[in-house]
Amino acid sequence: MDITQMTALSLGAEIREGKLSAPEVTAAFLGKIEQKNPEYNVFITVCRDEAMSQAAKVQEKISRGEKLSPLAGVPIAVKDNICTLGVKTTCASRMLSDFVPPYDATVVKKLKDAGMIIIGKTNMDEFAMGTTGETSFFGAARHPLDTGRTPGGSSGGSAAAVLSGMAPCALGTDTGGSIRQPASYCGVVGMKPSYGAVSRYGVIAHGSSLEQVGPIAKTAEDCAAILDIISGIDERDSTTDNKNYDFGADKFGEKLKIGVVQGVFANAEEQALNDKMLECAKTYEKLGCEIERFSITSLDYAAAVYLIISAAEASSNLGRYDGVRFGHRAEAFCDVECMFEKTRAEGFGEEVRRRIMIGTFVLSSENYDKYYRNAQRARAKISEELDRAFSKYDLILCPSASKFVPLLGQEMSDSVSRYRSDINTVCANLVGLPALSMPCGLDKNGMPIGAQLIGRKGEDAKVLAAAKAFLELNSKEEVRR
Amino acid sequence: MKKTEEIIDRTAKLARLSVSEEEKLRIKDDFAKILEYIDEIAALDLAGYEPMASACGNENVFRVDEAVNGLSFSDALKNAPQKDGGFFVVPKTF
Repeated sequence: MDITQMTALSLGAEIREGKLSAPEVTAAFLGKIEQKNPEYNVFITVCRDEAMSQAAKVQEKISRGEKLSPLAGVPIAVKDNICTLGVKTTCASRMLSDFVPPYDATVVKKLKDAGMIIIGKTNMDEFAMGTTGETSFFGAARHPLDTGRTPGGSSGGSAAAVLSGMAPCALGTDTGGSIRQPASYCGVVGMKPSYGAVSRYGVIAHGSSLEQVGPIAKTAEDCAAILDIISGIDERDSTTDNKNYDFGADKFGEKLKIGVVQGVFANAEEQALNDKMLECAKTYEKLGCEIERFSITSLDYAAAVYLIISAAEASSNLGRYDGVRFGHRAEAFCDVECMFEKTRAEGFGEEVRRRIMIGTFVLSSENYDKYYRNAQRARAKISEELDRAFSKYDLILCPSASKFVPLLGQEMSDSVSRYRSDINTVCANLVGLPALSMPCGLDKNGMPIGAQLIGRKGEDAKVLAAAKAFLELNSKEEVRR
Repeated sequence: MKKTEEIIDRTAKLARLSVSEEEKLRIKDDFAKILEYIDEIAALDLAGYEPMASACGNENVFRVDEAVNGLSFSDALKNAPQKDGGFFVVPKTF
């Protein structure tokens, strides 16, 4: 069996049983990275020496019979906006191109404590702002099935790493869909947990009230196992909760009622995606669920609400990049104000500058009530509508993406249509709900399509169990490649 | 509604971003479309809805009032563009 095609939990089991060793497994993935990364540009930094050294240490513990996590010895790729002690963390930006964090993010520390091996830092959209990876300072990652296409964004590198066998699993972050959309495009499983389940300490902030770290892997079980490791209350992130999630615990409940969302765009691609969701719903009917189609009227304006709130939060969070304590500093400037302005203009790419401008605009005193405050009130309205939906349904099913996997260069010209395309994913971020993307078939270009399951806040285990049940029934080649 | 170019100038100043004349010409149509897009919010009926800042249920989370060490001086200065002893060096601020 090719090590690089195995799931994270299978690797963990074989390592625990002594059939494989942690260094052997790590070396296999490092070999795959060396072979494929030049073409796919998935990794910004490969942690070759650190990973082999860590694998040796973990193997010693396993050989001594120490009880470690089910994923001990298993490599994992980490999105490059998550701080790793001593390893460059760039956010795919010129602003942080040489930044080496002096601490680990909480999620990274938890992975290391569980014996997982950080194999490298993955490519992404700059500061997690984008949907195709094309805003990366290091060039876009490429889709492993068609290098003329994007693997998605902003966690495109993480999703492509898993699809191409360069890592058995990865961490991404999801502020408005950035785990689910690339997981959908790459035909793998990606989950954004409930807001507060996972600490954001050490995650370079984009939209603090919206984002969560989550896993990308080949199976729902792998995602659950990773979430069990990285989740938990953290005194360094006061938005974390102390709920005991137990992500892998739920057994699939056949009598679930699933609401299938009617799409908002009247175009052929969305029609094809809607039809695919109805096919997926038939799988759940076979499993004993009740299916009903319904509309979410908030979808008409949710993407605009998300843009206002996320840009506002980003403009505040990115205020720290001023050339004083870390990151890029302009070389020529006349005074300190000039240093700030030139540093930020040079250090940030165009999309990041655009979002900072939008955010600054909506927060400025004459615009604050009309845009930002009203967007927050609209957020409450969206939350209420979803509460009503979840009083009827146990799960909501809809496409993860709003289009087929795009060609590189296809998406970059029109900002508003890019922002509108987040339509299917943003509600889960605005309201803090658990949401997962799972592969459900191929589009007319032979590229993967993802179905999205959204659950009630805190019911992450139910979402994962439903995904597991679907994938067990649909494990044929046409669903995953 | 102010002209887009004036909005770009004022917003860039607030955001501490320098925007060249060439860039301003290049982005102004796209920026105008974005402002039109977010104007959709103004048409919504939001009567009775209070602002929702976050999906987080927590309020006023405090830790015990005990002094703990943070980053060491050397760690804090590790990524400094310019430093001198235990200080970050910056252009004079007044």
